[in-house]
Amino acid sequence: MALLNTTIINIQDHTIAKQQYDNLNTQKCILMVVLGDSENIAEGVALADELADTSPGGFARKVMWVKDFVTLKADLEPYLTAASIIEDDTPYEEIKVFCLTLAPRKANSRIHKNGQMTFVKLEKLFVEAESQSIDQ
Amino acid sequence: MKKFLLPLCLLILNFGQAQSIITMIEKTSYGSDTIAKSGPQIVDINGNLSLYIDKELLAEKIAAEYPQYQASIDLQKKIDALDSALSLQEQIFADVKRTTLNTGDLNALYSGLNQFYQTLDAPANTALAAEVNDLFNDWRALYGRNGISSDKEVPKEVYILSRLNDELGKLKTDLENSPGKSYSISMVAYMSSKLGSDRVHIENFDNIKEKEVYIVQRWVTTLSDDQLKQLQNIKERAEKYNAEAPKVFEQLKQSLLQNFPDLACIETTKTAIVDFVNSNPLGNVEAALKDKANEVVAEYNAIVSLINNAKAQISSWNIDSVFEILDLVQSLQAKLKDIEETFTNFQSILDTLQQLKTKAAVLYKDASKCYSSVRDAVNAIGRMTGLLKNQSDRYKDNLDLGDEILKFTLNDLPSEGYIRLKGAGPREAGDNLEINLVLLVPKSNAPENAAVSDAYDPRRLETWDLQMEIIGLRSETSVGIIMAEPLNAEKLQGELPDDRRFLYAPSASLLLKIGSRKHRWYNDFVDLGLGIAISTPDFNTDGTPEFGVGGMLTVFKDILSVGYSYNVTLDVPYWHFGINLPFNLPGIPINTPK
Repeated sequence: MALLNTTIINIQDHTIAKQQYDNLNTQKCILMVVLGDSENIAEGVALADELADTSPGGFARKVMWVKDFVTLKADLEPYLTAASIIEDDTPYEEIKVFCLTLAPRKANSRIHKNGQMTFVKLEKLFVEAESQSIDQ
Repeated sequence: MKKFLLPLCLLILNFGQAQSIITMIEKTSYGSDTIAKSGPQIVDINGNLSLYIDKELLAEKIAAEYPQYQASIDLQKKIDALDSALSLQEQIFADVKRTTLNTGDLNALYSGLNQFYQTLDAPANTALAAEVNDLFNDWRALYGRNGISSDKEVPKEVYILSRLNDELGKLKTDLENSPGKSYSISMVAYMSSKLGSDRVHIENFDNIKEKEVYIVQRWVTTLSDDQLKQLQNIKERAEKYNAEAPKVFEQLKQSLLQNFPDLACIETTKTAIVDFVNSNPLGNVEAALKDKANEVVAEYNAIVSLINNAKAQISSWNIDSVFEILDLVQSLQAKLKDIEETFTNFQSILDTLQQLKTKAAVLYKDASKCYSSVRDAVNAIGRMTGLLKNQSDRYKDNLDLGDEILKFTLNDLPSEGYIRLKGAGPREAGDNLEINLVLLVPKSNAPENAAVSDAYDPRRLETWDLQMEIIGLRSETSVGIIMAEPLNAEKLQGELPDDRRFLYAPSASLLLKIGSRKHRWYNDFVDLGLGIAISTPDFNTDGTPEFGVGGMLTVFKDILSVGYSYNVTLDVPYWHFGINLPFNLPGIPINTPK
């Protein structure tokens, strides 16, 4: 199934990756970030992409898929640290999905690497980020 | 061995700290405290208690202890989860299909959506979340990706919420038809106090009216009217005791001696039996019965000896030490036990004597009469000694349910109750407040419209036994009688009665005490008090009380006191002690402490 709302980050070329991220980051959209690469994650990305078609509040939704934990780490990790999502017992490498609000971007909660990317969990992340983007 | 020891210890610790259904937060003017169920459960007597009910634990407890309600509890839990998820669904329905939304609309919409998804994502609702994931898949199958391809566009939120509402309605119908749904839950509080015991109002859980505000004062500096009256009585008694001290104990001894059996009838009966043994008719009686008759005489002699010994001991009582009274009372009780045993033996012998009844009917009648009179006398002594014990049992029916107690299901059970102790009525430090969370199981064949107590059988789910105390430092006044010994008696040469070492005196004290939040044994038993005492001894026995002032230390709820004072009038120091036992002995200066 084609991914209509998802940008797959180039993990071979960090310069291109940075450009892709900057391009997404400057758009007025709710940005869901998916980290890691596996069959389950690919299925989860497809579901997230589908959920990004519409938003109940009319927000634009986008998905950014980073298939490793190195690319864009310097850009993404600060969001998680600021939101206290990354703690001693939950390093960056154990995060699977999180969602950023409209600018100024911030994260709220996440799906742990052991968690499943189900409809309820993904939609909850979108809704959470959107509810904090109403006045932005 | 070690590898078993640690898990065992953890198990024991875990067992000791079993989770309680009610979480109790005490709010006082000094802050808030959580009262631990496994702790001493001591609360401030003027505090406010918030009681939070963990419905999940409550449901688990009911299901574990009353399996007949398991099915309805499962249904109820599902309904609760759905109710919670759908609590703001109107806001979602109202706005999700609109194309233009202002900030207010968006806030309302996302408030509903957040509530919905966060409830689903809670660890307790995994089953419901899985159901919603399935509903999303159904919706996708029916309407295509995001419903776009369908002729009739239905947002996923509308589809999912509609299906969940259908299910909620069905679950509620199932619960209505569930055979085990008819239990109820209530919470009741009962206060036990010497000043009056009654149920206590728990806000949200009953319609009992709060009583007038009654604040137990922390700083008491004046004697109450009762204490003033008691002090006056003590003064009169002290004067009387000082004047008639030797007589006091004689009165006690006399009153006890008067209750001892009259030995005259025993002597008469004994003589009659001896005559009977030596008389002609006995010649026809077999040897065995003759021996039995002689045993009766021997028993009579034993009884007479025993009673005479007891009498002699009582006559030799003195009161050099007050503690000796208790020893003597105990030894008297032991003697009485011996006497009772002897009379039991006596009874069996009389039964044997009954065999001689045909030949000695008159003798038996006299012996029975004598035994009855002795038995009555022993019983009278038993009753008298019984007065020496403090046996005030208070009956408390703390599960008594009136119609003013509200009944709830798991669904509508309030999650919080509130008790304002100031509205609980008269009470004093050390009183108890029992709170019971109860399951009301309907009684079979209960008449329709029957009162709650007739229609339901209450079963305790959790009980809290709180002790109300004035936590921290407080002052207390106390009155009592002291026994004072002048320390330089030579200054009182010619004034102090020759044969007296101690003189009685009324005393009043202002004591500082500490109420512990951690140790009941301290509050109930030790209860140390330290303060100043004034007393009015009459060392020169001229009938005019002198004035004494000094320090006093009390323990055991003011039962024991010791102190050092100075007789300002006669310029004589003295030490003193007091024993204020919580019961009265006839004629003895021991009184209930106040």
